[in-house]
Amino acid sequence: MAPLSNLRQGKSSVISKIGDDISGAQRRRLLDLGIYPGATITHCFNSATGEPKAFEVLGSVIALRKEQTDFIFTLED
Amino acid sequence: MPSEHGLLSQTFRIHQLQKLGVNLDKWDYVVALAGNPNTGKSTVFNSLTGLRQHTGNWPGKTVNRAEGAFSYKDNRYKIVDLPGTYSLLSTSEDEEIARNFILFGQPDVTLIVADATRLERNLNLTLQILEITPNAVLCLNLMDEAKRKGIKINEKALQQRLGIPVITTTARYGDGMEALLYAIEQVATDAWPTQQRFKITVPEKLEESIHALESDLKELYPDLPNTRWIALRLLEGDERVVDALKNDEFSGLMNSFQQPPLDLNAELDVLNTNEASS
Ligand SMILES: Nc1nc2c(ncn2[C@@H]2O[C@H](COP(=O)(O)OP(=O)(O)OP(=O)(O)O)[C@@H](O)[C@H]2O)c(=O)[nH]1
Ligand SMILES: [Mg+2]
Repeated sequence: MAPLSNLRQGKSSVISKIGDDISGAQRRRLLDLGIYPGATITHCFNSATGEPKAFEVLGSVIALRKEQTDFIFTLED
Repeated sequence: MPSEHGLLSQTFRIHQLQKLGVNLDKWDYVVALAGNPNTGKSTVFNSLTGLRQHTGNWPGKTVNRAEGAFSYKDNRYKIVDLPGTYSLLSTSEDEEIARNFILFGQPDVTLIVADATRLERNLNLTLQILEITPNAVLCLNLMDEAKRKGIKINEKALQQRLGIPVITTTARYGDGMEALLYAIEQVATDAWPTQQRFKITVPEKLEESIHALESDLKELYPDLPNTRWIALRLLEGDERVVDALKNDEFSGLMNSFQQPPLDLNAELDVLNTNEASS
């Protein structure tokens, strides 16, 4: 398992876990955006400052911050 | 550039459909347009009302509610276009406008417009809506895109599983609009055998707390619908909902939907200008 923040640009992987550090409303928001175990996620591009990063999941591009991607885990790519 | 939808909505005609624009003096039923961002809600709205709500990726994004009217067969409908949202647990102001209307605007029919090419993503909101009302229609839009991508959807199976009418459309070209109107009519007039299907069962202890909170809420706000939903959010500690209760926002909410939305006058101006110049 590796944090999503390690996923290189252009690469895809499968989400395996959302860490316990993300809880309550924040966790629910991620689930609503399609971040859940089993979903395939692709690191599309970075914003000019490097953060947030853009990921494609379930056919839509969403922005995630490092505080989130450090605690979302994927299978190795 | 002339709006492509202005042209399309004028050429598109359905027997027994009358587009009534902003003619909103009386209606038999209220239809709310719900769905994820960018699924074609405003395009459907324009097709049915003859109005020209902005559509498109950007700046076509809907940020406030817009109201229009149409009549179909014997009934007049008020239809409310809403901003797109991924969830009823909103995080932004425009998402909150959508969720407040879906929860507290008491629509007779909630028309869920889904992107057929992203069905899995779109079913999240669909299920959240079915948890609060069975009076819904699922419109699988962008079917032209789905076909182009080789996506096949078994809409009969989906309809059976969800318990609501499922209609495939390509709203940009007016395809499927007649079937959609028929489904709206069926649900509005109770001709469709709807049932509450998606009641999530919770442990008894939790159910007791929900009930206790619900009766408090009903005492405070006798006309407030969906108190169960509010009670669940309060138990979760949803800050926005806790604040809404603290600031007594629920009391003004129901009345606010009786007033026209803020941008309606702007919409009227646009129509008047167009008429004057043509
Ligand atoms: N190919 C195709 N495009 C469509 C269809 N329906 C709508 N569109 C296009 O999709 C884009 C978004 O449509 P809108 O009607 O603005 O979508 P919306 O759901 O109101 O979007 P938000 O208000 O941002 O949530 C526009 O460019 C439409 O022309 C369709 O059936 N097929
Ligand atoms: Mg819109």
